[in-house]
Amino acid sequence: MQTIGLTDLLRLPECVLSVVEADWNEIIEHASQSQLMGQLAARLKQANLYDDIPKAVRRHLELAELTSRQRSAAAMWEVNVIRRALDPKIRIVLLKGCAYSASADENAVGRMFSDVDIMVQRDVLETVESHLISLGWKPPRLSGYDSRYYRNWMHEVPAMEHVRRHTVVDLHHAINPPVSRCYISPSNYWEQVVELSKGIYVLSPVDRIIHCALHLIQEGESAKLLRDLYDLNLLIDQHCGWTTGLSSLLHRANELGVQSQVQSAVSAAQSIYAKGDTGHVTKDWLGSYLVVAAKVGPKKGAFAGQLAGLILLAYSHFIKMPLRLLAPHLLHKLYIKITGNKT
Amino acid sequence: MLSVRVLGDVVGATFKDEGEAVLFIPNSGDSMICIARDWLNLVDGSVSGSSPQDAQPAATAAELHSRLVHFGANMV
Amino acid sequence: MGSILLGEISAPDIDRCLRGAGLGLQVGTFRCLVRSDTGCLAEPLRLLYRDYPAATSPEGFYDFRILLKKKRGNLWGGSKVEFEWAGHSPFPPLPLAQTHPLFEWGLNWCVATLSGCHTVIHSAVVERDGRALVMPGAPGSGKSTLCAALALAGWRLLSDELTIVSQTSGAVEGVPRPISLKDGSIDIIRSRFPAADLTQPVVDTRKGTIAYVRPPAPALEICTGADKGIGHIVFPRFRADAALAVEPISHAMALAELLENTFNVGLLGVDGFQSLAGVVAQAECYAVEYSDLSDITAWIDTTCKP
Repeated sequence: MQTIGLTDLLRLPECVLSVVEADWNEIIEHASQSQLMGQLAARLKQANLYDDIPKAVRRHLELAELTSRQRSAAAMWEVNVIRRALDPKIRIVLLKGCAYSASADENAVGRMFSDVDIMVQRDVLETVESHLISLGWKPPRLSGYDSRYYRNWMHEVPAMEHVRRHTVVDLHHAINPPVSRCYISPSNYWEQVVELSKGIYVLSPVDRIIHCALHLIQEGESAKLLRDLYDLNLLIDQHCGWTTGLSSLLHRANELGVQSQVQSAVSAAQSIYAKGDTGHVTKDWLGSYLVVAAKVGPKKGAFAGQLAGLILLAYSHFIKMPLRLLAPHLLHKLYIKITGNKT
Repeated sequence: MLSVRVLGDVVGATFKDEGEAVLFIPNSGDSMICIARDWLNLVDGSVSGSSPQDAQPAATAAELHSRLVHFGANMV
Repeated sequence: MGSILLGEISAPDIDRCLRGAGLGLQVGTFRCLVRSDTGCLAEPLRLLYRDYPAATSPEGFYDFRILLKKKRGNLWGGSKVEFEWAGHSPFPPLPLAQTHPLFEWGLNWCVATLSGCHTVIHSAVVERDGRALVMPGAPGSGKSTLCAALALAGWRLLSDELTIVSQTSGAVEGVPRPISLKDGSIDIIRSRFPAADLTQPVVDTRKGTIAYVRPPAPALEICTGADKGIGHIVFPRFRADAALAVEPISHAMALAELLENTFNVGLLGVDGFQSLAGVVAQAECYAVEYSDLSDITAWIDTTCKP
């Protein structure tokens, strides 16, 4: 009989009844490494299967639930600190973890996150950045090159860490890099934002799904893929469904010029997590690599996984930057790696 | 013996016959010790409504208030 | 875990388990599986964990599957060792000679992390008649030496590093582990308790020279720890040539100090804070300055009674 793993339980929680005690070692460690432990607990609770878990295993799950709850509350508290400090006319759009939490999206339950991701309009970016600095968030010390990389090409400023609390704010002005091949002009999604409370907004549900899909490809990081794909799966479950709703999702993605990438990410999420009747989403080469890389995740070894991971990293660079910029950029990174010399 | 009060983001503990209070902001993990009377004045909302004779307590309670605000606490 | 104790297994067999599928060890309520290819762990484990339930082959679920892995050194330095649990390596690689201290620090980290639903305070704690005596203190305060002296003379060791307080009942959980001693304390304890089992000191660690004391058997008795909660909180302050000076301190001061020393302060919430305040309210709190270990242990024996 096949050993039941983490993704099996997330997809079909009833499998828990077939899990033998020793199998929990892999499941718990995999959940810990993938940052999925809290969401695993939520899944099993939701399916009323929590009592079927051995007590020793429940200790790990309960800790993850507590950590997720407290960290979410702490992140939302930081959002409110920022909101109170900024000019009320400046609209703040929450992204990722904060957005899921504030919108009460189902994937927010048990989700582990601590960074505060917010987005403002480009014309107020410098103002907001200085204000954050005055509130105690410090920008990192960057080389001239890295600083120019962020300022000129990226959709976010370098992550800022609070001097005392050590919480991190990622300040965005767009959801994908201005220099990328498929840059979405922010007005496209700003016009659809939803106000949750005074001055605090989130992207529309379908745009949240699209951002989730784009982000996981852009990051190029295997370690977080399994979790990000799970987020995508739950968001689709909740906001559009896996059958008729998918076409409106892909239609919107097409409007924004990112259909191919969104489709790849959705196909990967479907492959790992979806069950029952789902509309068929063609899986292309990128979707396949996402699945392989997600399954290996942060683990070393497994050549196929490492290769998939490298390909994704390369692709993430490729879509972030045109080739004329990418080649010198990668050469620069290689130079740094060899010489350890930052200029 | 123990009295625990909450004011917005801040929770504070005072012990019978002791002049100090321990304050804690759960969302940031910050904690501090302060004069119990100042904390209780804040919680009971007497900062703005105090009389001239009470100027001293009001001043220190207001100081405590701004210290907490500096830590990011919202006490509305 | 099975009914075998670690001391019943020979050191070569322990090393074989460590190099193979792993050595199972029951530490308090935690089940650990330890693996290591360093060859440096079998002897200290056998000395210190002699009375702990053990298993020579893995079975069931382990809270921590720990790996102490040898890493090849570079041209300038010898081999190193790295601690790993579930993909986390919270400490940088250390010289191979520090394998055992690294195991102890790593296990502390694991236990402190997994106990996050309780209040986890950085302090030593011993127990008598169901009530805990908690000794928080900065490095250099002498709390570990004091803890060892009490644990070897009538008090039951609950932990030399981690006081784990239930947020629902106020009971203190015991996680029996070897007591760590630094520098001068090693000789003090060795001369005061010649029958105690100590490891060979390991030099040049980030904490100085370190040795470990095997916890006396009562520490391992299956029980709830200190089920009546915390009876006393004593802040020891070692100062050379000082006469014994005892100062009662307010509950507020004790609570503030404990909060400063709480590992999982970010997880407490209002409820956790309230429960900790409640636990402190029931305890008698003192700061004690001393230079002679006998002075402070005598004072504790007389004063810290239920």
